[in-house]
Amino acid sequence: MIRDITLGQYFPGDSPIHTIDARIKILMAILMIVATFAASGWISFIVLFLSALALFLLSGISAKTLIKGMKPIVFILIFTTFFQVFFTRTGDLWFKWWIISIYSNGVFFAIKMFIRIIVLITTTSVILSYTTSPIVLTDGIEGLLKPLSLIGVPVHDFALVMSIALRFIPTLLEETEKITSAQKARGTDFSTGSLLKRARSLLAIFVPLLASAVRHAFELADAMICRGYRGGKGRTKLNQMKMHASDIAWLVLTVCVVVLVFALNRLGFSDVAALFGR
Amino acid sequence: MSIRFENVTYVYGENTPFEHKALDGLSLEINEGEITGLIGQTGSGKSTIAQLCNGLYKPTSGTVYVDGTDINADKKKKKENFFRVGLVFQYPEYQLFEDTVEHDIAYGPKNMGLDDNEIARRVSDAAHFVGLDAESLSKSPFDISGGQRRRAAIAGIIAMEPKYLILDEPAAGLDPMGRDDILTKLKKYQREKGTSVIIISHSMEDMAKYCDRIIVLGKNGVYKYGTKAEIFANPVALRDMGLSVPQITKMMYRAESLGVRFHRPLYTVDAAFEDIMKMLDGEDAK
Repeated sequence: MIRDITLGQYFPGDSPIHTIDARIKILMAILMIVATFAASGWISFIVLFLSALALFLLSGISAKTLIKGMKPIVFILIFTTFFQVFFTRTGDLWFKWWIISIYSNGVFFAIKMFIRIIVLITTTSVILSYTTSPIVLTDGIEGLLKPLSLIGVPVHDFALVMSIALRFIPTLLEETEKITSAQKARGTDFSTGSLLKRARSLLAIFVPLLASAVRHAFELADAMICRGYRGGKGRTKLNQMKMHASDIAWLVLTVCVVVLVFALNRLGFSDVAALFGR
Repeated sequence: MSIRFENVTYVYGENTPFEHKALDGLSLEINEGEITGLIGQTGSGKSTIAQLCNGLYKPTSGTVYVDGTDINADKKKKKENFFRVGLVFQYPEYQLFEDTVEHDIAYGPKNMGLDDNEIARRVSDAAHFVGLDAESLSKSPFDISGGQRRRAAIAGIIAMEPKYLILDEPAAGLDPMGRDDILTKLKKYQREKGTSVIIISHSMEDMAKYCDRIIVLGKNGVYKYGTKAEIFANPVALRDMGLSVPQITKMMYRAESLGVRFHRPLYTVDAAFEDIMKMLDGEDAK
């Protein structure tokens, strides 16, 4: 049930993707998202798809894991594809029966949307969640936002809040499961009855959960004070992040993908055919 | 009538990288009208057994019978089984949520659909059994002490008046006095009501003191079921399972190896004290 959610599921490893600097990875993910949304031509989509495939293959993540991670979006995929195919009314009419008519553009849009969503999920999960531990990820975010601290933004505190939040997701999930079982054993029914009754059943989970979250917060704060925590000022890091030449190379490569996607957007299949024809 | 496991296997997270077999072909029977102790190392599947008994978990294979019926056969009767087999989870005080302790104890009976008079009777009965006074009943569950909250949570299950009461580590995290207090009260409750009580614990001392029968779970689900005498007769086998006999029994075996003879096997400090004093008196008389 709750255990099945692969939220921020990190798979330790030492693939080329795993070893990229976290700051670069975040930039890469952003760039790939930009590229995904910018793509409109077929060639661009092929470039996009191939780069996602390359990232996936290099990461050493099993196809099974990736597919399992996509399960939650299957519905969205089917939903959008359905609407694109049946409700687009432009392009050539390909098929007509009763009230159903399918136009060429509808099919094209659907395929593009499909690739877009798949690529989006694949790149972000392969670059970030599957290959970067949450702690390193927040370090990366802190590193990227550091310049903002010059204008008084408490970057360190943000990063700390984020890493604590990430750290407590599994704890709170586990607690939710426990409390749910305990209330079920007292006869709570979460699935039948009026809306009001069901909302009230949920109260039996939320109140204890909130109480335990507050308790965790106080305990953690005490523990941090006991260990001498007093904010980000003058604080050093155990693991300093170092940028390598290879990291820069990855960034440049990703920028190239984005540029390529933008440049090839205007190109269709016929243009390519013409290019090779000459 | 009893709770009976027939060849029960339970696997956590089946078909995931985190697959883990908690129970493998376990068969056992828990008698009615006794206090049964369930003991085993961490990870031996004690809590899993508890949740299989009341139907929160469904066995991966095998069958769980309560009073002769397969509890997973009819989905609609699942709720009934929650009320027949009351389960007090580990650290149950974290499940309290109502505005007063009284309302929280009444939560289970209310879910059973009982009328107000019956609920009121059950709440006051349950509160009496665990030793909560009228003053704490009207307080918020977040305003009373940890030990009191534990009692309130246990009362919440007792108020459902289940035929079988399972408690997962009811005394964990309490001081020795609170520990003895809760376990003594449970024993008294069992004797008065005739409910079947199953206590899950790590402590052989507690088991020896309060339980009629003991189930020992080993690492691979291998278990031994018997009276105290049967279980503690073989300390070596227990040690191989990563458990041990009570300290006082250990002492008894040691003394016997040095030639001292006791009248009966010793499992509790009180019994040992009594017997040793008697023996000393006998020596004085000579």
